[in-house]
Amino acid sequence: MTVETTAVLVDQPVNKTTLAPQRLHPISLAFEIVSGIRQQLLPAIFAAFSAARGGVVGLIFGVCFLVFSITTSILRYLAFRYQIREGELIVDEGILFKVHRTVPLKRIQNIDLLQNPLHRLFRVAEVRIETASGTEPEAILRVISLSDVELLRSLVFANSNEREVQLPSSSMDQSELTHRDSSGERIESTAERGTGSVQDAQRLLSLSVSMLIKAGLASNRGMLMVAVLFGALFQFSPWEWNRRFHFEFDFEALMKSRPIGYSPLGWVAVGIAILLGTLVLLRLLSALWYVFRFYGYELRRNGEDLRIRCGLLTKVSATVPRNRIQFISIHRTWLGKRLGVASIRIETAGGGAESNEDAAATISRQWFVPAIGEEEIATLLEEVRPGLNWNEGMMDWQPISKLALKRMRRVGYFATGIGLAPAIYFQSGIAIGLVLALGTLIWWLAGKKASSTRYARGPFGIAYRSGMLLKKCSVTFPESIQSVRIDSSLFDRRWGMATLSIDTPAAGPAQHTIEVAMLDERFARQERDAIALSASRSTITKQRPSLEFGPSHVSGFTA
Amino acid sequence: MSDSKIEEIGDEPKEEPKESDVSVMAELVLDQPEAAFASLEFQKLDPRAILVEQIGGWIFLAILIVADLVVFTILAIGMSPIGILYFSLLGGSVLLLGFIGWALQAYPALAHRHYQWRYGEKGLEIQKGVWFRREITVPRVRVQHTDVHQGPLMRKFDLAKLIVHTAGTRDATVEIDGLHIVTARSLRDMLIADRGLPNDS
Repeated sequence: MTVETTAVLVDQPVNKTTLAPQRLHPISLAFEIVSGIRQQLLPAIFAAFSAARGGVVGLIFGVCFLVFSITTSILRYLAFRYQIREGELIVDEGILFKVHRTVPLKRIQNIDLLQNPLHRLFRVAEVRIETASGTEPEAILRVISLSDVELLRSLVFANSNEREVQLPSSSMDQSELTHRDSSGERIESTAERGTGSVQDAQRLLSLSVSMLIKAGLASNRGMLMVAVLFGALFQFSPWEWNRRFHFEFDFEALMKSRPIGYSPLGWVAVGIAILLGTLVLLRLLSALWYVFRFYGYELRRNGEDLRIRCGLLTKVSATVPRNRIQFISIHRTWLGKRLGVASIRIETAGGGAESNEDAAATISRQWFVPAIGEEEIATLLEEVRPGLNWNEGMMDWQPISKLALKRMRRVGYFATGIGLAPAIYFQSGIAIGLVLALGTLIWWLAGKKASSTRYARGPFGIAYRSGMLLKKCSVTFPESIQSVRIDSSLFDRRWGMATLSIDTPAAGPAQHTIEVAMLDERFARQERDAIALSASRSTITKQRPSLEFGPSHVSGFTA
Repeated sequence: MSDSKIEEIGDEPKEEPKESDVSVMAELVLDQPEAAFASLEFQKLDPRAILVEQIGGWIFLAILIVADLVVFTILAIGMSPIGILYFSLLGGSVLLLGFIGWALQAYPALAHRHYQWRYGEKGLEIQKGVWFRREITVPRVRVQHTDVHQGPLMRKFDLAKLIVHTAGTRDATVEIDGLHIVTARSLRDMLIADRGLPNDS
C-alpha cells in the first residue's frame, strides 16, 4: 500500500492537502482484464469454434484479441493516477486520449461506494466522487482498497468546515461496510477523531427483510428478471447451442402424457394452473430480487444530504442532496395496498435521461425508498422536504371534467365496435358475447380511471394522482415548475376539455409526468393562470430562481 | 444594440408599429416592470412569416415536381406502349401534387391566424396550433437563456426565431418562429432583464 507516500499538512488551512499520485489497487488490473475478456466473449467463442475445427485463422484472431485486450487493460491501469494537489483532486487516465480531470475538493459533495462480492473478497471498493453538478459521478476510481478509501475521505473532507459534519457518517459507513465483511477487522478511521457529532447523521428509515419481501411480492419485478434472464441466455449462447437445445417442444409427447384427456375444460384448467403458477413464481422471483438488491436498506439524513445504503451482494451507497429533489412520486400497487407497502421515487434535476445509469444513481432515483409503510410516508417526506406537510387525505383534490367518463366510454365502445365489426358480420353469436363482455369492461375501466385521476394545488406545489392497478401520486414544488402547457385537440374542444401539463427539471425515472388529461377547459386555464402568476410574481424579489430555493420560498406560493 | 434598434425603427416607423411598441416597452420595462406588462395584449407574428413559410413550401413542391418528372420519365421509358395505366398514374400524381401545393400555400396563413404570443404578468405566453392547439406559458423567472435564430430566407425578410430555454425537460426549449428581428431582439432583452438573475451571470 502506498499510504506512506502521503503527506498531510494539517496545520495549513486550505489548499495545502496533498496526496502523492496513487495507482488503483493492483487487483483492479485483474478486474479490468476479466471485464475486457468478457466484452470480447463472442470473438473468443468464435475463435474457439474455429480452432476446434482445425482453422488456424480463427485461432490467430482469438489470440490477437486476447493479447490486445490484456495489453490495453494493463496500459489503462498504468495510465490511471489520482492525486490531491493544492486543494484539488486530480485524476489522470487514458492511453491514446489522455483525460486530465480536476475536481476542487470543496466541490466534492460525496464519496460513494459500490462493493460487489468480488470487491469484498479483496477488500476493495469502487469509489464515485460526486459533485453537485448533477447526473454523473465526477470521477470513478475502479477500484481502490478500503483503507485508501478512508484516507481519501479524510483528506477530501478534512479541510472544508461545512463538510465536517459529514465525517462521522462517512466513517460509520466505512466501519460498517468493513464490519459486514465478516473478517471482524475494523479499519482505523482517521476521520472519526476530532468530530464527535455522530447524532448529526439521523437515521430516517431502515427496512427489514420481511418488509422487502412484502414489497417484492407487491411489485412486478419478476417479469423483468425473466426478460433479463432470457436476454442473457440468448446473448451468451453461441449459435450451435441455440439450434440444438432451443425449445424443442415435443407437442405429441406432451399430448400423450396428458393426465386429463382431450377435454377442453381440462386444458383450460391446466392453462389456468400454469398461468397462476407462473404468476406466483414471478412474484417470488421479484421478492428475491428485492431482498438481494435492498438488503439492509438504510436512509439517513446528514445535514442537507440524504444517504442511502443497501445491497446483499453488491453494496451501494448513494447520496442525494435534498435541495436538489424536484419531484416526489409515491407508488402503490394493488397488492401493495393490501400488504400495506408503498414505494417512493424521487427525481433530481437533469438526471435520468441516460439509459445507462450506474447502480448508485439507479438506487437513489428510481428506488429512493423501495418499501415503506403507509403510516411512515408523511414523516419521511417531511425530512426529505421540510414544510411539505404531506397529507393526501386533506388535499384539495380536483376531479377531471364531468364529461370525461362519458367520453372515455363512448370512445371505448366506438373502438370495440370498429374492431369487432368483421366478427359481428361473420359470427354473430360469439361476437355479441364478446361485445357485451368488452363493453362491460370498458364501462367499468372508464369509471375507475375517471375516479382515480385527480389534481391538486396548494402551498406545497402541485400534486397529481392517477393509475388503477398501480396508483401513482406525485408532487412537484413551486420552484420546480418551469413552464405550464395546455393542449387541446379537436375532440378536446368538442367536449370542452384540455390537458394541463407541468414541465419540471425532473427527467423521468418516476415515470409519472404531470400531464392531466381531460380537465375541464375553464378549470385548466384558471389553474394555468394561477400557477404562472404565482411563479412570475416571485421575480420581483430578484432572487436566483429555481433549484436553490429553500422552504421559505414555498410559503410564498399561493394562488 | 440600442443604436441600431433606433435606426431600424426610424426607417419605417409606420409599417412596423408593433416592433416600436415592443422596443419602447423594453425601455419601459427596465424602469417599471409592472406598468409595462399590464398593457401588452396578444401579438401576432410578422405577416411576412407566412410568405417565408410559403416560399419554403414552394421549394419543397419544386423538389417534389422534379422527383415526379423523373419517376414518370423512367416509367415512360419502361412501358413501351404508353397506356391507360400510365396516364391514370400521371393524372393521380398531378392531382396529388396540386393538393400538396394548395396545402403548402394555404396552411401557413391558417397557422398564422392561430399563432399569437404575449409577454405579460404571467410571463411569456404562446398559443399555436390549428387542430391540436397548444398554449405554453413560461413564467418570467424561469427563463434560463435565449437564442435569436435567423435562417438565410428569414434574414432576407428581417425575420427571426426566438428560442427560450428553461430548466425543464420536455418543454426545455420554447420557440416563437416568425417574429420581426427587432421584435425578437427587444423581446429577448425584456426576457433577459426580467429573469431575475444577477446581471453578471
